[in-house]
Amino acid sequence: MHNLWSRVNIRLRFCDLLTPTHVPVVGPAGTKDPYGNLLAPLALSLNVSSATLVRRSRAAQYKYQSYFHAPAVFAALQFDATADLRSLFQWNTKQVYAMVTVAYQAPGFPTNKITVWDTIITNIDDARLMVANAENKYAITDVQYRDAARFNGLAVTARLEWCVHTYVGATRCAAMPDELAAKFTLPANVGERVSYRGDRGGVGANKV
Amino acid sequence: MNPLSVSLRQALLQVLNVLVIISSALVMWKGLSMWTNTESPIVVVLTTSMEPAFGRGDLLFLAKPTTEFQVGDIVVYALEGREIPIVHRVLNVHTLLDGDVKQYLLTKGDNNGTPDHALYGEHQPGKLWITTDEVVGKVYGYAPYVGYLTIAMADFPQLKVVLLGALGLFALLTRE
Repeated sequence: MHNLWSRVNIRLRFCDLLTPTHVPVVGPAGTKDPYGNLLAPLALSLNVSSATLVRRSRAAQYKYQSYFHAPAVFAALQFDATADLRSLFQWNTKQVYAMVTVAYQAPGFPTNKITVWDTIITNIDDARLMVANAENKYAITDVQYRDAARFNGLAVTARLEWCVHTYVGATRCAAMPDELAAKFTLPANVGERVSYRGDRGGVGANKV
Repeated sequence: MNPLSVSLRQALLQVLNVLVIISSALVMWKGLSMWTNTESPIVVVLTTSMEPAFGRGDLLFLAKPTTEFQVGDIVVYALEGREIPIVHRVLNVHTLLDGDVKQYLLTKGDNNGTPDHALYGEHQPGKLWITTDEVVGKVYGYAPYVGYLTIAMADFPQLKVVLLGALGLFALLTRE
């Protein structure tokens, strides 16, 4: 205890014993605050307001940038999404990648999942996600893209998911709970548009 | 004592020490490859196509999962005809019921405007998805800027010679 260094050393030794329970951790479904309570993103919602099955055309190819092949049918969705992702921004968070995915089953392919929209949030001020009447950014086409009837009447589930990228360390991804996911059915024929919003401007598709 | 007046026995011992260090480094690298189930468990990011998540010089830790790849995973894949693997994010996943190919993946770099069809088609026209065999590994974590030394060595080969020379000199002249 005669010099500054040995005094600092002893203080640090005590800190070692205290830190593990008091450090917030970026967890799989969100973050934990210093008291261990799980803080998941708040105000999660995803409502698909309409879906159209668009026939193959030059304009559709250009819109979705599918220059390398000509899918027979594209699905076009309109949706609203909200998410308060501020709780994901902890000391180690570099960016949050939020995406809307569409998942379905098809003959020969038990799971199919397509990212239709994404965004990158780099600071907490932009972390309150609120999009209205957004269209899908990327083409929704099946792996069997020459089959025009592939999407007819198909039951799909749209989900909001996110990944937290850190300044150093592991990347963690999570999705919105299943009860908030939008489950709906695509139109029965190519060229049709189905609106899931009722006449009274309801919340949109959330049930098959 | 004059450091240059070493006996033959001591010189051979030093050489042997250096060889042991090199071979144990190799063993650790191969062991890491086996544990992570991928041939390159640690890679360096070379392009800005995944900014702002990963920038040039970041070190990525890879492993090849035995389960399926998920949408949102960042994977490193190698295409035929391209010597340098690509680090991009998985956008679409289609899983097959049976057959050798388990999954079809579509990838896109965060900083790119469009998915990677152009990259796939460069050497294989008409290729629209990558398969799990072409994926080297999935990114589980990363360390920023640590890999910049590798990029510097690639851009300035003289640096490699200088570093190796310094290492060799250091190894031969130190005494246990």
